[in-house]
Order: sequence, then structure tokens, then C-alpha cells
Amino acid sequence: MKIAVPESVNRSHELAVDLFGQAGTWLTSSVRAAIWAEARNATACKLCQRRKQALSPYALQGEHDTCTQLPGNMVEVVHRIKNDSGRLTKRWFDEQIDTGLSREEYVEILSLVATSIILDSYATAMGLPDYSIPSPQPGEPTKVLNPEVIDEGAWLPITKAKQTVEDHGLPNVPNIARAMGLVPSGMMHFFGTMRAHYSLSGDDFVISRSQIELIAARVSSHNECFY
Amino acid sequence: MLLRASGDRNNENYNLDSVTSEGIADAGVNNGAFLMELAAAVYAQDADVLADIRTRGVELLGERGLAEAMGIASGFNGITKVANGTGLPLDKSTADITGEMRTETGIDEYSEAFKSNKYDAL
Repeated sequence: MKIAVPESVNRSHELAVDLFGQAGTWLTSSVRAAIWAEARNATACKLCQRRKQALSPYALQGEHDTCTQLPGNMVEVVHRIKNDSGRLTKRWFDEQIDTGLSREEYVEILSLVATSIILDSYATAMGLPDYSIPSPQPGEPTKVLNPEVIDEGAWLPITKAKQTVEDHGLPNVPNIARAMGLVPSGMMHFFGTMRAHYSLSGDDFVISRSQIELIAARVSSHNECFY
Repeated sequence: MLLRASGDRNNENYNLDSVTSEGIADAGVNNGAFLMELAAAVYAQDADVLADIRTRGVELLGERGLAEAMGIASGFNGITKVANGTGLPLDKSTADITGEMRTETGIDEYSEAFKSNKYDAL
């Protein structure tokens, strides 16, 4: 059964796909495209599958099944975010940074994996063919630091923002919209995709707000997400 | 948290326990049991189960409603990784008003402190 994809979703996905083939702020276009390939491949990783079954993923060591030339620390980050993000801890995060990955690179990887998950989840859910991962385009990372960040108790500094509480009970700029503040381009890539799927204020859905929030809450629970 | 706010706005009391429990219940939301199945199917990414969800979903929600539901589930499959991958704390306003509900529903077990105690120790 073929289900029509809303035009707004099509447009946002086309843009999101294209950005995987372009240089980012910290990562080259070839690394960015490889991260999507690795995220897609991670589903079949035997180490990840064994860790998923273990009481703690940290009790099992081994090599990930990889399909790219990405360095091992990037592969670990991609696979854990894709397959077992609900059991990530601060100690794991610190260990990845200790391998030489910068916090900005970590955020850009996180943005790419999370965006690829939206794209791939949606395609599978709707019975569509997988999006083609774009060929890397020429260009260099800009490596521009964002100084407008602040420590608010997350593992990383997040975007500075003046907070007021809105009618729906969340701040005008909730923490989730600030989480990837170290790399604004990554934040925009992810939310440019996400906004076509969900918004707090969107009232043009045919399903009800309670139905929307039930789906959101249930998926969050499957992902063991506190936020 | 926003599900509860939605219930407050509609003067309806949704069963928030069902969101985090193992079984499938409707949570007091129209077509809730089906939406819970849909959420699980999008999370699990099983193509056969999703094909069945699409067939039933068009009957229950209409084509556009089903596309919206799939889009929301896919979006949250991604955005939860951002929150989990940054150890993101709750917004203060949310934390202040949801303490009891988080304890009752078991959501506190998804917190960074709980996960560190549970997984780093093994």
C-alpha cells in the first residue's frame, strides 16, 4: 500500500539528504556521508546486538562490524547512538572525548546520526525505498566555534538562551533545541528535518494533539529517554 | 510530559502509566492502543509489521493521519538520540511540575544518574 508523503516532509528530506554530501563545520563531506552509511549498517552489527542483550553494554568488549573507513572512535559513537542510546552514560561520553574526538565533532556526528535515523525510520515506516546517500561534494569544514554556549548540566555546553515558560508548559527555547549548540549547523540540519514531522504549536495535523503526544511519549519510552 | 499537558487542556485524564509499561493499552486516547503499536513498530523497524500497521492505519486514521503518525514516531526516534546523546537535563519548569508523575510512571529510571548507577557499575 502506497501512502502519500506530505510535500513539506518531501522538501525537508531532500534538503537533509543533500547536506550529508556537503562539508560541515567540523567534518568533511566524505566523513559525513560515511557516517550515514555506518549508521545504516550499524543495525546488523553483532557486537551491538550482543551488547543490547547484556545487562550492561559496558560489560562486553569487541570490534564493531563496520562498512566504512571511519576511525574506531567515530564508529563506536555512531553505533551506540544508533543502537543503544538509552544506556549511554557520562562516563562513556568522557571516554569518547578522551580518544581525541572533539566535543564539536561529537555533536556533529550526533546530529548526523539522529537526522539519518529520522530519514531511514520514516522511509521504512512508509514502505519507501531507502534514500540514496549522496556523493561527497568538494568543500572544507569551516571550523567556526560557537561561543554562545553555557553549561546547564548536560554533558556538553548548550546554546545560551533567555528562558520564559510558554502555554504548553515548556520554555520558549527548550533544552532539546539548545542541546547541539556547539555546532549550530548540526542543530539546523537536525531540526530542519524534525520540524516537518512535529511541532509544539502546529495545529494543521488531522490527528489530535493527545494522539500526537501519545506517539511521542511511547517512542521516547522505547528509547529510554528521560527528556 | 506534554501528553499530560494535553489531557489537562482537554479536561481529560490520560493513563500515563501505560506509556512506559510493557503491555499495550489505549491510555485513554482515541485509537491509543493502535498508536502504541505503531510507535513500537517504528522503533523496531520491522518491515512486515510496519506493512500491517499501514494497512490498519489507513482504516483508522486515514491516509494523511497515518502519514502524520509515522512522521511523529520517526521524528521522535531521532530526537530521543539527541537527548540521550547529550545527557540533557529536563527544563527547569518541567522538572518542577513533574516530579511525582516521573516517579509513578518510572520515567526517573531513564535519568542520567539512574543509568550511570545501573550500567557503569557492572
